[in-house]
Amino acid sequence: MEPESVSVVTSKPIYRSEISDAPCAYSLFICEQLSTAFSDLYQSKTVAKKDLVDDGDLDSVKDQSVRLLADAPAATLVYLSGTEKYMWLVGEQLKALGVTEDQMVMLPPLNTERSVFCCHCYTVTDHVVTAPATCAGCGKLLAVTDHFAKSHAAYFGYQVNAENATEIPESVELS
Amino acid sequence: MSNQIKVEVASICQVAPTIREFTLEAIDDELYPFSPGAHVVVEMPSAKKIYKNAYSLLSDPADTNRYRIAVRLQEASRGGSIYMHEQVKVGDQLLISPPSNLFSPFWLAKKHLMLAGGVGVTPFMSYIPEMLRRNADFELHYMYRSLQTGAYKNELSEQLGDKYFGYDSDRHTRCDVTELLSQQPLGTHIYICGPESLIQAVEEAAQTLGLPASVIHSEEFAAPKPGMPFIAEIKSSGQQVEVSAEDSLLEALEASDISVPNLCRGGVCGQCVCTVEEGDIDHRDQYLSDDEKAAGKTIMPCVSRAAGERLVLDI
Amino acid sequence: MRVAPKEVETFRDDFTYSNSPEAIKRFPFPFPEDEYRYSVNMEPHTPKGREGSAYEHFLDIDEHYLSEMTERKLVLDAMPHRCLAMDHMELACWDMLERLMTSLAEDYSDYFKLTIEGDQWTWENKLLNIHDTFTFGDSSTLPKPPLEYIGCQVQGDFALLDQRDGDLFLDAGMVTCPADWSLAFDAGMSFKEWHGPVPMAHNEGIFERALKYLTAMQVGSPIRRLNWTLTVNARMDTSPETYHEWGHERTSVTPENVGEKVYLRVEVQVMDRMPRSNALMFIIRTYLISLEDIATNPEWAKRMHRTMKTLPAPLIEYKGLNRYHSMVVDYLSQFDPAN
Repeated sequence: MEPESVSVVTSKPIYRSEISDAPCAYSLFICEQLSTAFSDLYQSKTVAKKDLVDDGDLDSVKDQSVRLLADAPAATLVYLSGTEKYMWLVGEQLKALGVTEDQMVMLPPLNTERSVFCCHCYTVTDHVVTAPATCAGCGKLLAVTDHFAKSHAAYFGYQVNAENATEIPESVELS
Repeated sequence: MSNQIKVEVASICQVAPTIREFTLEAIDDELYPFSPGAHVVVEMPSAKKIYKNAYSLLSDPADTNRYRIAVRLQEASRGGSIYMHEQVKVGDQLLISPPSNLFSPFWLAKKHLMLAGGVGVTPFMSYIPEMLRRNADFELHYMYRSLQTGAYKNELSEQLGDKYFGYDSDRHTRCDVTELLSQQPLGTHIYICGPESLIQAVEEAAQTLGLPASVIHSEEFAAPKPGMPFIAEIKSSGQQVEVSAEDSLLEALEASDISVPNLCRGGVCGQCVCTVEEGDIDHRDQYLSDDEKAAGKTIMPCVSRAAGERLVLDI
Repeated sequence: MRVAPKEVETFRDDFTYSNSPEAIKRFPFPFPEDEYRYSVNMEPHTPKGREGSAYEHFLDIDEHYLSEMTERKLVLDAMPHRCLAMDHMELACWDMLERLMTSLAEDYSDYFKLTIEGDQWTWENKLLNIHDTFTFGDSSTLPKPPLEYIGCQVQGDFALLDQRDGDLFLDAGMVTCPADWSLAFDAGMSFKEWHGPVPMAHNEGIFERALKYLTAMQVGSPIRRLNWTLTVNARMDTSPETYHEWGHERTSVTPENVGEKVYLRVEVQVMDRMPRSNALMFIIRTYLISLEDIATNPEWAKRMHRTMKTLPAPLIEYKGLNRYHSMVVDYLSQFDPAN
């Protein structure tokens, strides 16, 4: 299994940096850590009601989402900012509260770190910036693919040298 | 199609001034169970031609002994609804397709808001028993004209209580769609079945308010579109193949012993593609690209037809 | 003559799996033409071929039944997550159980028997000595959840796709013999998402067309398509989960052993609309045959040589054949002297 060269893996999320000011009755802004850009976005949003949650802790974000969205209207938009993992894990929580994917606006992730799902032991290894990467669960050296699962908020990883233990590709930086 | 089901009309009843309900029972095979929102295509062999219309199943999906459909007499009818109203009698046999469903409830929704216009109440008749069984949160908003439609309004009102909202435009009660949508909580999915004008009004209101497109569902039937008869000329042999309004070009070619490789017979797989030498094409397939369709040099004979009276095929 | 299930053979360790001459004759050979071409090769899943053909019935029970059921148990015992069903798929699981039981009982009445009295169902599987009475629709009356219960009695992998908003979602399944994809990772994905890694086809719009066709499928009109890859040794479970255990076998192919070591792996994929839930059942029935056994049919060997020779590089890579593809072509060339 060589790294993909020409083909484009269509499950890899695409993020847009321009945010159009779509109409809605309520906007919820959730961020892992407040940036100037996100703060500006929040300030500039003209909407009947809006709230801002600035919290890196997923459990605490969940409690606040449950409270803030309890009486929210169908015309709600949620803006998300943070690492890729943070946004998709919050996204999963929001889905359970009835928010659809087209009601979520995800900003480009704060960094290029990936979370990687080890297909051998199902452990998710966070903060991966280079490939191959060592699995935090079973220690295998993992190839990092572009195949992304929203529910795991992670990319698919498999043992890079399973066919020949001595064949270890050079480390590359992930984008 | 060989998978059709032969049914007998067990009873007919007038459920609104212009709407008749038909109860259909299986003759040879058992009827399939079906999912809420499913429809069948009913074949009506009139003297002139075979009509094929899609009708929602309005019985309880748990009841596999019979299917019920309701047919509104359409003023601008192609003839199918007139046939159902004037020709079909109790004891008659009809052919129907197995159920298909392109209007299934979104079961993960927090709340279901059903908007019915006139005879468009029919798919919701199969939603409601299942919603009640699942204890789902729902509302039915039913818009009708009591001088013409309004089938089942009394029994629905009685059965559903405060989940039911009726609007009779012949008595000047109207539904303010924008107001209704603006009151819906997060997680509501909205289902519309009725005239195009209702679907459009709801979609526009949803867009203005900022409801996500993914929560708006409207019924679209997969009924075969009617076609005009035409002649297909085979370039190599000069043979003239008559394609009737009911047959596909592929079927007509096969009936004339001209075999064309094919698989899906649904305009998807691309196997039956033929080169067109002359004539305009009414493209109805999912296979050819927009560019290929615009070029007008190829046709998928399993679903597409001549736009005019004649096509010359290079086969 | 139909082939009766034979004694248990293995798909791992000592690999005692073998095809009888009858099994070779009925093998679903997947290459319709000399050149490899990617297409939406779907056709109605109706009987094809003579009695005993792999397409004779809706489900194909063959001589490997007991071996495959034993292998499935080994996989599930070690990795229970290889079978899953999300809560909203309960009805679809019962749809599937009904479809499989009724078709087995009808097509293989010597082996399977279904007695229905209202919602009280009695199921007998004489091949596995199973005899259970349960209430249809009530999972608590079955020894295992419905998908797992019936899935462990039928050859092939199963996925149940929930249809929502014109798309299909991979929300339930039992996948113990996949060609390198993980149900645990792909669970919940949309049609396009779980096909994400497939090269080439996206640009050609194949998935859009396939999705349109699949979402419009009617009850009672199943369709099938064939897919294929190559596998080293007769290994059923070529999953990513166990890739670290079987990956090294790809380096074990030599010009001398390629004929016996490399297997053509064919999936007869059947899609069928479920009536109550509107879900789509997706059966992936896997067949394995060694190149040596293929070579007993000169036409097959010749055609396979031509197909392998013209296989595009991205597919060689995607199917994981890099290390031994050329040896396969060389081996098969002896049966195709003109090419």
